[in-house]
Amino acid sequence: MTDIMAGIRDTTWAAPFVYVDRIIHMDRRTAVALTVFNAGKDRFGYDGFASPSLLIECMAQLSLALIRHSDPEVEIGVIPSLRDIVMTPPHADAFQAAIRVIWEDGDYPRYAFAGAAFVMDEPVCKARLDILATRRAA
Amino acid sequence: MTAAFDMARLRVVFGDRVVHAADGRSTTLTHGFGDESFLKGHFPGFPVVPGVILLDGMILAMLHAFTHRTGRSGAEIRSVAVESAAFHRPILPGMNVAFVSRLDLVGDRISGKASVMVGDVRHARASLFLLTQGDAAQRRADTRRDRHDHDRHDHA
Repeated sequence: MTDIMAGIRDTTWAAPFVYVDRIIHMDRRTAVALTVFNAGKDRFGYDGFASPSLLIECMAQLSLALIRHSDPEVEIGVIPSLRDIVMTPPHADAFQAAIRVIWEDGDYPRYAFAGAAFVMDEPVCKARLDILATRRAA
Repeated sequence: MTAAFDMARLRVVFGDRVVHAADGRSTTLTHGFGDESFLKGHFPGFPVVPGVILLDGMILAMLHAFTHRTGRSGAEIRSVAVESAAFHRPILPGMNVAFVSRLDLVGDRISGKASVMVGDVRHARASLFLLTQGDAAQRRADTRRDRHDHDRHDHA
C-alpha cells in the first residue's frame, strides 16, 4: 500500500470524533499528521476547549492508520492502556497540531506506540499507547 | 506560556455533581452518559465512551479534589502527568459513572489515583500528577530535550 491516507479512510469511527486531518509522512515505523482544532461542530471539543486528551485520541487514530498501512485487514483498535503521559492544554481555542507516532514494539493484535503532539513547535502532549487491534471478519 | 485545564468547559460534558468525602480523602464526580455528541462518531451504531473522555473525567475529578483540599484555583494546574491509565471494561450510554479521585499532597507534590466506577465495578483507573506552572516548564524542557535526542538519533 503506497497511499499514506488509506489508513484513515473507511474507519469505524466517524465525525465528530475524527482527529486526523492529513497524514504528511509515513514510513514503516513512523507517521506524522496535521490536525486543526478550531472549535467547529464537526469535531468534538469541550465547548471549544481541546483537552490534550483529544490529542492522545489523535495519536491512537494515527497509530491505527500506520498499522493498517501494513495490514489493511485491521479494522478497529482500542486503547487498553496508556503510560508516561505529560500533557499541557494549548493556550488557544484554534490551532494546528502536528502529531507524530512511532511504532515501538508489538505485532498483531497488540502494539506499542510512542506519540507526541506539538503546537507552534511547542510540545503539548506525549504518551505511550497500547493498541489492541481487530481484523475484519472473514 | 501555558494554559490551564478548563474546568468550566469540561463541566459542559461531565456536569457538576461532585461529592467530597467527610474525611476529605476522596472526591467523586458522577455523570450519566447518554446523548453526548462524541457517541455519534465513537462508534456509529455501537456507541462506546472513548477512553480519552474517561481520562478527562478522572482529571476533572482530581481537579475538584485539588480545589477542595487546598482552597486553590484549578487554574494553577498547567499540566497533568499520567504514570499509567488502564481501561478494563467499556462504558456504554445509559451507565451512571462515578469518577472517584484520591489526592495525595506531600509538600509541593500533588499526586493521586482515580477510578471510573459503575456501581462496585471498576472500569478504568489512572495514576496521575497535577503540575503547576513551574513543574510544567520543567516537563516541557524535558520533552524538548527528548525530541532533540530523538531527532539527533534519526539523523545519526
